[in-house]
Amino acid sequence: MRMLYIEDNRELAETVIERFRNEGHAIDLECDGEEANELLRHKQFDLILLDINLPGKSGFEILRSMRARKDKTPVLILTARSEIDDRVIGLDAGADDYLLKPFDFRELSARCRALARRKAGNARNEFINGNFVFDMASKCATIDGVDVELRNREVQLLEVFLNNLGQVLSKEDIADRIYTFEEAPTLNAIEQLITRLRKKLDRSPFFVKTIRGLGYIAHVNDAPD
Amino acid sequence: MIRLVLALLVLIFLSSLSRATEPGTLNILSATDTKAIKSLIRKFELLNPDIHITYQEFDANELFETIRKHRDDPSYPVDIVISSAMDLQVKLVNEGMARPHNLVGAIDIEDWAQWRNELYGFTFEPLVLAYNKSMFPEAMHPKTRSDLASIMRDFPVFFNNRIGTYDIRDAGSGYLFATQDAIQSNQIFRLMESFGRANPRTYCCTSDILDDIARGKLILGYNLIGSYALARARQNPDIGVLMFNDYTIVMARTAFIHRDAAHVSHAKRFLDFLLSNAGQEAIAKNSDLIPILREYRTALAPFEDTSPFLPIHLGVGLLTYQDKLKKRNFLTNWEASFLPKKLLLPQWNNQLRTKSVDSN
Amino acid sequence: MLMMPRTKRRQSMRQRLLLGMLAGFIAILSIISIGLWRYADDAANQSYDRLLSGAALVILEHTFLTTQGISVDIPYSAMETVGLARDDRVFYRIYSQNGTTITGDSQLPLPDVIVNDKIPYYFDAWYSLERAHFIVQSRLLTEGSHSDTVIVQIGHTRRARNSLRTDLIINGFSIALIVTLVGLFFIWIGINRALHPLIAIEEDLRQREVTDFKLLQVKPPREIASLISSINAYIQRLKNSLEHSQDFIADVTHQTRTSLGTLQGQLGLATQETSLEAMRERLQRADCQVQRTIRLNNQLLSHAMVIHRADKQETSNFSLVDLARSTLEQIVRDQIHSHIEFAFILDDLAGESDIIGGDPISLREALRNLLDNAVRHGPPANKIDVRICKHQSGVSLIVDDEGPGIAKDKHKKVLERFYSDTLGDTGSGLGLAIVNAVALSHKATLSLQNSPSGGLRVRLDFTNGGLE
Repeated sequence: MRMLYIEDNRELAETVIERFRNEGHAIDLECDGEEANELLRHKQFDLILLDINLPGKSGFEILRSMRARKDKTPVLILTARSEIDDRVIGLDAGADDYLLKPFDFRELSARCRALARRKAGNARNEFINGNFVFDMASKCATIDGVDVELRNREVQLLEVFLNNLGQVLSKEDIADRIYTFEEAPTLNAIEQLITRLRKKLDRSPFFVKTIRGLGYIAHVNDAPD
Repeated sequence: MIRLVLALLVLIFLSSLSRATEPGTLNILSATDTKAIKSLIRKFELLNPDIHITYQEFDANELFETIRKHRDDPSYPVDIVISSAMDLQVKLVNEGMARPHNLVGAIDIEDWAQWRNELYGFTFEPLVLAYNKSMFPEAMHPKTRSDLASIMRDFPVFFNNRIGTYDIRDAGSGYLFATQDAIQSNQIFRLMESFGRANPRTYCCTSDILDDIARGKLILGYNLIGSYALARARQNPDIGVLMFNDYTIVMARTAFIHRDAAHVSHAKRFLDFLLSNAGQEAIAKNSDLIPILREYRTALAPFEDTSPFLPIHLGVGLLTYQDKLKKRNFLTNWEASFLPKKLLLPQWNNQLRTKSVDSN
Repeated sequence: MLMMPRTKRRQSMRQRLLLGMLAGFIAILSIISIGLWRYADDAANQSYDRLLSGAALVILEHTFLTTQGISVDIPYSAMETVGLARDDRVFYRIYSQNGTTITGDSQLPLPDVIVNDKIPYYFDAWYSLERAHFIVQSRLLTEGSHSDTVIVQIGHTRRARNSLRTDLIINGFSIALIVTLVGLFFIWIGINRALHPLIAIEEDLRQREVTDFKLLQVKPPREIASLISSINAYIQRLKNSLEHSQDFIADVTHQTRTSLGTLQGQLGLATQETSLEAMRERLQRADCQVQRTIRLNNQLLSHAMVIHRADKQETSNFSLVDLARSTLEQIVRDQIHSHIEFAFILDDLAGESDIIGGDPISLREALRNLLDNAVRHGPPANKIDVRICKHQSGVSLIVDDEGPGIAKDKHKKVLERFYSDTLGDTGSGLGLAIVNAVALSHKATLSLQNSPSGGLRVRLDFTNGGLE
């Protein structure tokens, strides 16, 4: 994986770069905001780690100009700012994820993998994680290469979850997305549907967690590539 | 704008030029002997070469009547009115004949000698008894009015026909003096009766009486204007002047600017002069009159201690005896007590006077 | 330059008082002046009417009936009496009832009424180019069987009246003016005296050292007693706050140094280890220590931020439900791998609005800390409930967990900074202190209870609704 790390603190940058190189990734460092922005105009990366406080140009500006150029490279923001507004702005400006400094490298690595996987998956029209593969074109899911038999509704539900990993979805949200207005399902029906999906994907890294009063949150346990 | 200013400047220049070259006139109508006031007027003209004074002398009553007659004729040439008849002056001013003027650079004028800011008294003239020194020995001199009455009663033959005073029916000032006597003393009719018994001669004016005293026709004259009497006494050693110890009435000659005065600024300057220190000094030195300012009253020095001066107060009080009925009553009383009954007819009186002159 | 604004403000207070008083006095003066004018006019007329009346009576006394008709002997005193109005011209006429003038000026203007016996009538009229004031009074004369009425009209110009009136007004007004000035002078002195304690306070405060927290010792008048006590209370609070922050700095210093010292010690030991196994063991402990230090740091910063924002008082209206939901969602995401069961429970708010006024960023920080504590101190299979319900006068935010809870006698203690129930554990001792600070700045009541499931229940009762 080819990555660009934009960070003005060399000490921190060196530890991160060394860890990534040890894991076998190609990672470049850029310390100046202005120069990083120029570099991104000409070179393509698989993933960008972006600090916010930079000399030259702020991380947000770099991000905005990337997105303005329709550059869809996944961006993970690393910030030391404490106020949540910054994160919100970061996500609004088109960041794919964020992490607060100081961070645990294992966490950073996992997030990077997830982002890279999503990018790769989108490109191949497949979702792959460990033993779990979901082909978005044929709507087939396999665990350890074995087909999981999924009904239409279950496929729809799985798609909804995979598109909103890590986000809380209420029953109403789910109903809106997989049923038409006329079908008007009971909320109970959705619970049963989720229970069925959970059972069928039991052995996969994919799971759905219930939060009473809020809804559901889906997650795929990270597996090393 | 500039043209306007220029026009104004030219006007100012012309007006000052005309004032400098053509002497303005000042018409003074006065009940004062021209002889007594002449040099004072000369003095003013000398100090004010741009003013030429036209001086006209009148009897007090005549003057009063003249001013009244022309009250509705603004073109009648009068700027200043001067008279010794203070009551007539007050009456004119009360009728609105005067024009107010606040004196500039004036001496302190006592309250009694001014009325409103229109009528100003500028002389201090006591009423005196003048006598012929050779005929009226000092031993006989009365101290008071009742002394005089007693003497006349005691020597009726001596005084008969040889006492002079005013015919108050004609003499404006004489009427004033008589009424002031009446106000001052209840005894005055007793004195008049004494006069009446002595067949007094009556005159229009002080100077005529003084003439007859000088001639020896009269022993004495009563209530004469002190300034004239003292002036005559200075020239004629035969004439003596006497003031009573009980009281001496003081008359102030008064002046006012006529309402319709044509030469107001000249008139104002004249009044200012009369009542200035310089004017008062000029009155003392250049006229027979006695100035109202105490420092220049040297003529009165011998009498200051013996005789209490009672100045006649200018004011509406003086109108009382100018009341038609009051005046008629007063004159009736005066005639009754002063003139012997057989002489009441005027022709007779005249005949008698002529006769008595002849007999002397 | 620095003195300028202070003296200016002091003067302006004095000026304001003086100007207020001046305005009052001017109002009073105006009223007095109007009254004075009327009074002076009446007084002047009355005094001079007496002269006219006296003169008229004296003249009437000297009227008599003769065979020729009415006659009069005007006494000198009558004219002298009227002449007391020194500079006024006098006009008179005595006439009979049929209008025949007996003596005097027959041209005088007539009164517009018929004059009754004895009762004097006064009127103003123009005569001889001047305004004059007249009296007319009549008298019935009887001589034997014959009788006739005589009328006296006497008047004078208004010069003396007007000048007396002017004198009265000027004198009266001068006195009023002097009283005003004296009054203002005393008021000025009064103001200065009244302001004296304030000036003393100003001196006291100006000359103070920054570290001087002595209370003001002036003996204030009643009116500013509350001001003084407020200032004193403020000084006390300032002193407390300063002591507080000194304590805080000391605490922070202690905590961070201890934490870093521990880290240093473990790293030092690790370098000494000879066996790789033992070294890894040491490094793992050092790593744990780093985690603790980071958390401590974050908590300290969070605490500082909350306090700072409370000082800045940036407030807005927001929905408590939305805020709690989004915060909980974040925590759920962070804890996705754990076995903790989260629940979000909305009790029936019964019409009570969940909109509260405050600082959403601080409040989110507080809730995050509460949830963090619940996660940290609870068992792996914890059950954490976030509940929003109604209380007597507002909404409450409640967080329940199934952890060990806190003994009742320590409920107060744990709200203090750096007090951790399980000392030496992962707690930084700041979480509840942050919550407490946020509760204070939101005027919410923070209470610790035992949850029905046996763990700790933290309850925040918001009393106020939205901001105005």
